[in-house]
Amino acid sequence: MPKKRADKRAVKRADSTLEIRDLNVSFIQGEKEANALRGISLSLKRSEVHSLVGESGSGKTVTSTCVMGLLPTPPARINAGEIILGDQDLLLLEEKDRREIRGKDIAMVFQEPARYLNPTLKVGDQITEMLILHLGMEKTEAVERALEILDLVGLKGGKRILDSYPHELSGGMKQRIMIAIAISCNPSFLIADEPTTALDVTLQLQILNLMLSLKNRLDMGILFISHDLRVVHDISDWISVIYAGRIVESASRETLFADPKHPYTKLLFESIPDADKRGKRLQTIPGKVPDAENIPGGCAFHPRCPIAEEICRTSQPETKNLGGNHTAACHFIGKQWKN
Amino acid sequence: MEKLIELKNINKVFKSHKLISVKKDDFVAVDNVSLDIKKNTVFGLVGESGCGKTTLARSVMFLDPPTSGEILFDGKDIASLSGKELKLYRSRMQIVFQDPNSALNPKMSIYRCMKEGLVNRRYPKDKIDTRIKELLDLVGISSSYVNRYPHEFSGGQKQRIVIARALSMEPEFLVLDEPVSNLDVSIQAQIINLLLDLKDEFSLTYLFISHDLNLVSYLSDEVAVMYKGQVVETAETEKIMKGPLHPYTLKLFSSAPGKNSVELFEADESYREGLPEGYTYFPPEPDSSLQLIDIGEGHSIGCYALNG
Repeated sequence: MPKKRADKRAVKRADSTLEIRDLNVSFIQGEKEANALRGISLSLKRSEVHSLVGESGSGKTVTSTCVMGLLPTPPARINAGEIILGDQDLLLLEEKDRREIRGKDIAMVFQEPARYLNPTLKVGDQITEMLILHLGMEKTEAVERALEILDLVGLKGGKRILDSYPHELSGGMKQRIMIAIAISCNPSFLIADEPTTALDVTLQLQILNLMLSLKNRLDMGILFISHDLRVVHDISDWISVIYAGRIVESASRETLFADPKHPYTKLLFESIPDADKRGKRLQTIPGKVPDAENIPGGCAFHPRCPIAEEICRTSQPETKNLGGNHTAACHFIGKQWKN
Repeated sequence: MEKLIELKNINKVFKSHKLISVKKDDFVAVDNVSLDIKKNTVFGLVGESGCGKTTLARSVMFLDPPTSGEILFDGKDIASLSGKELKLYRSRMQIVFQDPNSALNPKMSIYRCMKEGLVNRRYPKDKIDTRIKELLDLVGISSSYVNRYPHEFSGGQKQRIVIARALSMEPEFLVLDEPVSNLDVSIQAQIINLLLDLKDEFSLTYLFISHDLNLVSYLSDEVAVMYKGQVVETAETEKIMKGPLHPYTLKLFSSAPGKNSVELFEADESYREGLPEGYTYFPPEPDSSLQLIDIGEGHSIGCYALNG
C-alpha cells in the first residue's frame, strides 16, 4: 500500500562515505577457482569522482556489481571483505534490506543502456517505478517528479519522452534515461560502469558533462569505472588503477598524472598514442593481463614488469603510503628503467 | 609524392527496396567524396559512427562498388577491369576489419585460414608451409600455434593473425577499419607498433579509419574528417591538429578525451574562420551542395557558395 511506504522518505541518511575494505571475491566453476578480486580497498566520498581504471579482466565490473549486491552467489563467492555504508556492512545485510539500499542510496549506470532498459515498458514507467517503490510516491506525483528529472538530465520533450519505448530513442537519449532512473531517488552514490564506452565521442563528452553537473547539484559520490585513461583524466578527483584484482596505485588525479609510481601505471600512460608522440615508437607492455584462474605468484605484474627482480616472483608487495594518501603496491617504487 | 589511390566524386546510395512505396527514400551514405592517398603514407579517416567511413572503405575495396565516381588504383580505373583483372588488383589491396572474431572462421585452424588465400593465388605448394611460418613470425605469433583455432587466441593475437593473413597477399595498400578499437590500451600499442613496422618494411600504404582522434593524430600523415557522408575538412595531420577550421572538425576535436575539459565546441551561424569571401559553412538553402575548397598548402575545407 502506498500509504505505508510514505514514511520512507523521512529516513535521513548520514552516510558520507562508501568504503570497500579488503574485498576478496572468487568464481567457482567445478574444480576451478578464479580469484577475481584479491583484496580491493577504496573509499568514495560524496561529491567526489573516484575512478577505477584497468584493462578488461582486471576486476572492475566485479567490484561494481559486488557493491550493488548484484553478484550471483554461486558461482561467485565473497571470501572476505566489507562494504561499509554509513554504519552498516552491506555484505552482512539480508537481500530484503539490500533491496532497500539498491537504487535508493547506491544507484548504477551500465555500459549498454539498450540492454538494461526494459524494451516492453515505456521509459516513463521505468522511471516512476523507482519513485513509487523506494519513495512511496503516488503515481501522479511520481510522473511530475519524473518530468523534473528528465529536465535535469537534459531531455527536452517531457511527456512525449515518458510515453515512448526505449527503441524509439537514440543511444545518447537512452543513456540519459538510464541516468535519470539512477538519480531519481537522489542516491548518495552512483556507480557508473563504463557509461560512455558504447557512445560516440561527441556524445561521450555530453554524458560526462551531465554526470559532473549532476554530481555537483545532487551532492553525489561517483565511482567511475573505465578503461580509458584520457576520459578518467578529464573527470576524476581521485584515481585507482586496478590490475589482476588488486589496486596497484591510487592517488589524486594531479599526483597520478604528474608522478605515477607503479611501473604498470607508468607504462599505461606511455602506451597511449597522441600527437606529441608522433614519429616515436609507442611504449608497449609485453604479454597480456593474466586470467583470474592463473594469476602469477608474488606480484601479479612481475612477468610483464621491466624492473622485476627475484623478490617480485615470491612475495606480494605491500601497499605503501607515499604521503597524501598516494598509495602504490610495488617492491621497487620509483626505480627507473631503460627502454 | 606519387599517388597510389585517387578517389573522384565517389557516391554511394542505398536504395530503398519497397515494392509499392511511391516515396523515394534513398539513403546517401557517401556523398561526392574525392581524396588522394599518396604512396607509403598513412591516410587517416575520422568521423562519428554512421558518417560513412566504412561504406567509403568498402567502396574503395570494390566490395560494395560505388554508385558513381571513379577509383584509380595506381592510375588504373578499377571499374573498367574485368572480373579476372579485378581479382589480381584485389590481391594488391587488403582490408583489416574491426572485429577479428567475425573476420576469422571459427571452424578453421589458423593454418587452414592462412593457406586458403595462398592456394587461391597459386602460391607454389611446397613453399606454403614455410610462407605461413614466415608470416606468423612477422606478426609475432609463434608458428607452433599454427594448428590452433581462433578461440584459443586472445583478441590482440587474433588481430595479429588477421593482419598476417592480409599480408599473405603481398598487398601494397591496406585498409585498416578501426583495427584496435576492440583492444585494451596496452595491446593497442603493440598492434600499432606492429602496423608501423610493417609499413616501413614493405612500403605499404594505409587508409586508417578510426573515431579515436588521438590515435589518428599519432600515426597518420594526412587526415580527412567525415560528417554525414561528406568530407568536411582535409589536410596534413600537423596542420589540421594545430589549426582546425571547419565547425564540425572543431566540435569533434573538442570532444576528444584528455583535454581536461568537458565542454563541447558548438559554432553559431556567424562562425566563419578561414573562409574565403563569398562562402559559408552553413547551407544557405536546404539543397545547397557542399564544395571542398583548397585554402592553400593542401588544406581543404567544406563550405557552401553564397550566390548573389
